Amino acid sequence: MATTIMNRLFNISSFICQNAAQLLKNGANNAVKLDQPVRKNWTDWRMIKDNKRRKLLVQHAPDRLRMQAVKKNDILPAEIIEIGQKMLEQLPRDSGITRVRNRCAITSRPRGIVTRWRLSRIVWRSLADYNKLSGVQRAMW
Amino acid sequence: MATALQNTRMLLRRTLSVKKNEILARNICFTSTLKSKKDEGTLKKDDEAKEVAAKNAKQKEAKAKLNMLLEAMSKESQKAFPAESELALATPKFVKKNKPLKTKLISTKIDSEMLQAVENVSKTFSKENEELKKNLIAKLESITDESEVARLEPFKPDKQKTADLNSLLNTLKVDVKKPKKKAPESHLAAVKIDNVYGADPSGIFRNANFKEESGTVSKLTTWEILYQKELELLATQPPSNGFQQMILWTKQGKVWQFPIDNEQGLEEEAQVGFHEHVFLEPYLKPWCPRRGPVRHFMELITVGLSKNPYLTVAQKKEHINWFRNFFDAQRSILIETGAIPDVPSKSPPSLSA
Repeated sequence: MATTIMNRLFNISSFICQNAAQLLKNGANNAVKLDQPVRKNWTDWRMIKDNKRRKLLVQHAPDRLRMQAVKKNDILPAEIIEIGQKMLEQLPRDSGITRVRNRCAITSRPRGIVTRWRLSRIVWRSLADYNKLSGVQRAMW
Repeated sequence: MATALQNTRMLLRRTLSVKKNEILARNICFTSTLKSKKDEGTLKKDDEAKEVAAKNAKQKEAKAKLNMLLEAMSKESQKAFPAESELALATPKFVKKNKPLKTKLISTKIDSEMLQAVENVSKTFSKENEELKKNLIAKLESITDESEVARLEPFKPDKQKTADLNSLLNTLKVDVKKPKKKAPESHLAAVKIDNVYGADPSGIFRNANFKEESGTVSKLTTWEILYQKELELLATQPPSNGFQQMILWTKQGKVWQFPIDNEQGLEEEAQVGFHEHVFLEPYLKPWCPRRGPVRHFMELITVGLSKNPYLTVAQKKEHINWFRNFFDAQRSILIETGAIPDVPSKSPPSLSA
């Protein structure tokens, strides 16, 4: 009885100590998760990085396409091809399409994505059960 | 004077309110009944007889009291005040025909106490002064009439009275503050403006120099942008329900229009003919050599572009122009390798001789 009370007290005090700065702030800041990326409120850092890669991809896509055309070639002379290859290497790595990963939009799960809805299978299932996905029905045949 | 009357008056003087009378009456009744009930079972026969006799006497007394009280409380005052009828009063010479019915009703409504007071007053002033008494009663009656009438009708402010009151109040007012100086009549105020823009311009600001901000003020661009955004947000209210949200989206053009058209948003592109997409050779003509690996390469490029329905014509032109620039930059290498025929060209930009 006494030990549980002591434990609770300790937990409360530790919580307060760790989050003292946040708690002392005025306003509704305490509602936000404290270990979440704050600036844009993405789910996690991997999601932020994936977003950056997508933006770079869009920005450099035409250049990349042309340089790839020059590189993956057996008609043009070898020197030209080499030049093309070097130009491609100059572009940022994150502008490559293979670096982009289709993550869940809500949980940032990298695997088990239902592509059409951009959601992980778990989130998809929970939404479908609550009738939030148009035209989605439990399979029965 | 009958003894009953004296008794009633005595009782009236003692008991002021009806409620008290009632309470008294009740107490008398209950005590008598309770006592009667108690005595029956418990005491011995001798004691019983004595006590029963005592109780009976008390009961009789109580009953007599009750009867007298009830007589006093009865609303028919004609019974309560037989003195009026007994006294040899002179009949009134003039009969007021204005209020034939009301007088009878209201005379009964004058409180018994009031009447008693009237009688006392008349007695004190002069004994057997019937006229005084009658006058007083008449005055009382008139007052009660007025009060009844006023109570029934809604209040209408008497103009004369209000005027009198107002005049009275005005006389009572005291000016504590100093009287303010009259504002000096300004010349501008005298001008009456009928048509604001009809008159000639006054030319006050003809020689004015309004200086703009001199020098470059360091601008905080991000802050400016955010300030503008904040202003917009303050002015516009976010949609409060789904209907308003749909309206907003429709205005912004985000909402599908029925019947669903897959090419919604691509109306401009629909106007561009297929020939512009497919026949891209004219864009190669000015610069690309007619034979050689470069031509081969560019032909492949144009074939690929002509088959691509997802790019706009502008984008395709951009692709071709980029390759043109690229090959132009690598001209020396191309000549070295023999991709381009090495001929001094009159027009430098073109690769073909």
